[in-house]
Amino acid sequence: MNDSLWILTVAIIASIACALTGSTLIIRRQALTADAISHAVLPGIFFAYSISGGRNSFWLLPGAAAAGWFAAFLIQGLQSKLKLPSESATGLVFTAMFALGVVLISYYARQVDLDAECLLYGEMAYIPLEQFYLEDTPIGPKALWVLTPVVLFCIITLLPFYRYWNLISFDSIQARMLGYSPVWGHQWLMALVSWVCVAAFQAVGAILVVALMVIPAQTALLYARNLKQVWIQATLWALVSAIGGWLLAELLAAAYAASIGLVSLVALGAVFLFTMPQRNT
Amino acid sequence: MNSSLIGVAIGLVFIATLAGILSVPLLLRRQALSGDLVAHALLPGLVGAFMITGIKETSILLMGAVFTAWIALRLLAPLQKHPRIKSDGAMAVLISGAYALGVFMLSLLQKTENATQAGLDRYLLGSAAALQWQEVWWAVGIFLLIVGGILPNVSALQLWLFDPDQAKMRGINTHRLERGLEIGICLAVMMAVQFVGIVLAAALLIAPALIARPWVNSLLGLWIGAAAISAFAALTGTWISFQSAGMPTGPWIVLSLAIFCTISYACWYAKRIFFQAK
Amino acid sequence: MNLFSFNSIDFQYRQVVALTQASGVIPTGGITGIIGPNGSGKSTLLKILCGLLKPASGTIETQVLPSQMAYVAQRQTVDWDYPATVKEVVEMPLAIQTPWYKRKPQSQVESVHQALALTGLTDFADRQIQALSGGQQQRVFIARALALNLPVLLLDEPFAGVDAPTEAHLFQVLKTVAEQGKTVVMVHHDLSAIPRYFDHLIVLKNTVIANGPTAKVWNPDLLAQVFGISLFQKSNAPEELIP
Repeated sequence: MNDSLWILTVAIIASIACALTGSTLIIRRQALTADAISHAVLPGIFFAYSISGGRNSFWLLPGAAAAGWFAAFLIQGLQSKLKLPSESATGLVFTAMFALGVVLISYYARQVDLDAECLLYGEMAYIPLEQFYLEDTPIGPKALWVLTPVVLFCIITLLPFYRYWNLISFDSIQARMLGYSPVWGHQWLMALVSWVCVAAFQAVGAILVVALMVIPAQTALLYARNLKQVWIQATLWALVSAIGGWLLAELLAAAYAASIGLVSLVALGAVFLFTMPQRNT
Repeated sequence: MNSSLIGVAIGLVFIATLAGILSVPLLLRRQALSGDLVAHALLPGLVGAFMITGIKETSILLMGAVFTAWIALRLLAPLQKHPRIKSDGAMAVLISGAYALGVFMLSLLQKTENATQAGLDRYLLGSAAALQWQEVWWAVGIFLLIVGGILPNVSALQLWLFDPDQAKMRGINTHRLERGLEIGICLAVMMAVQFVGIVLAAALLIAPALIARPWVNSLLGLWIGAAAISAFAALTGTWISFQSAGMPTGPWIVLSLAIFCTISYACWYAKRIFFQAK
Repeated sequence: MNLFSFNSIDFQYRQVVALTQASGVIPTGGITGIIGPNGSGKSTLLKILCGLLKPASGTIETQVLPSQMAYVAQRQTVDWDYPATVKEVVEMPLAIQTPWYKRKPQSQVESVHQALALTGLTDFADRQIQALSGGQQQRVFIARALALNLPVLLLDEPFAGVDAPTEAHLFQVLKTVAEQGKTVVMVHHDLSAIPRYFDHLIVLKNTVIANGPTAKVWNPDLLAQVFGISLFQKSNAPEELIP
């Protein structure tokens, strides 16, 4: 398959995963958690790489989940036990964890084959170059093989359980009264977000994962009437961004990931102006 | 080697201290992540300034960067006027959107001149070691500028931070104070980003006030405490990073702040339990 | 048989003592009011009764399980900008009991329809909750509890920030529901209409000051003691006094 088309495929899969997790976060007013976790997973990635001695991606997912959980747990703890404002707690935790990650990577640079810059703003053009090989035949980019199970996890654990997610996100007290623990959902969502971050890192880089998670979701939220619609519309906007951004990048020879982020932002701007209530109302 | 260490240390102390001072109003106004937003929104302006003028000089780049960063800050409020946009959504959208725009513009540059892009690159990750004395003087200058802006307005700031409505009623020009604070943050973060990189700059504007908060109750005390803590963290971080070759300075400053934060709150918690038991 | 019977309940949030040695009973049936000044532990007691909070010490005996109790929290515990229609909110607790691959049972549709009609929300069924006024939001919360059709309703300040006509209407709804045999327990935030509303009272000021049928318990001296004010002046509102 054409290199460019591999990139497009990865972009599409990544956008679906990001849209589903991002929209669930945003209706729970946890949009900044996406930003936080995307940075906080760095030490987790480091430990995964150092355990597996290099390129084995298996440890990435547990490592990412552990780091993501730890970050979310710490942020929540600082808010409830120490009464720190949520923005302060979030900012402190993710910068500290990111700093830790950078320090570890720099110090063990020889043993660990990680490029911090690549991690930060990723380069989709390299995706087709890193293929998995089955007896010397390339069977697809590594990014795709890591992303696909993650996106399936998202779809399988979010969509059929719409009523549960809706209940715990709207009214967690009511959920508890009915016997449904909001905590399970919250923890699972943190894990999903961590996995999406790490799976999409190789594809789109850190901050652009956040853009794909948050921006199409916010676009959908501007006019959606319920969570189901938010999921669907966010996915549609993410797909529009992925395809539109890919086209833009091909046209202007710009970076794929950034183009996708830019298109999503423009789409948000357009829908915002369209749905903004009139002043006189 | 020695003079570069001294230069780096001086620059970092001034920048960190300035950021520490600004972290106090941010904490009191619950806008802690404004620093993060500014850090990311600097990029499009930085690249744009270069694209338009072709000059890679600090003053030009600084103006462009501060311009887009300031616009991003000012967009927070209008965005939240939409009934379906909340503070966290607006912040996340602006942070990631501005950054995406910046990286997009940067990648457009990439096909023209590789070396140029590499030069602008350092703004992303920050590089303390590669800094010139020129940037250090800029840091000192901006520090003096902003502190010079704060000192005559201390009492007005005090009232405004404590009770903004009361301040307005007393005739204090709160708009001027807000704009001043915004510009100050943009300038401070612009300098910080060169030393510690985009992601970590936010920490310098969050942690110091947090660390001082449990121990100090007055605004002036918070300012002094935060300033002292940031300066100390800058020195500690710089010292640690120079112990081993290849160690980045910025992250060590942030880690120092994180450690101080842990110590500060652990002591506060212990004190509370101790007095509760009595 | 009393529906709830609690003994020596202690509860504190960090440094603040909410309840200390609180003991009392709530009978089955009728409308019981939990009243007291701000910070007296009313919401805390309600949450303990329905099982949301565990007391530090003390015992509670209930004749029904928490699954048989419908709890209506204070309005601000929910983000009303959440994307959902009135109908979707009211049917949420029922909908979740149906697996995603099954259709909603007709009984559930009926319950929702009735609850909406009772609270006057039928015309608002498809409106986004974001577009509702405070009083309408409160109706939605109560409709949701009613749709569950459970024997016990616990409400935390259901009339806070609600205009007088809405309050009158909603109280009528609760009275009808109580007359059908359900038990209604309500935290009430102000002093007006207490004799008219409640059959039984728990007067709380971090501990139970008074507990029993309103007719026996309610008097101006009690008010002065608990709230620290003297409400009744010589010429005022004789109909507010218990005959």
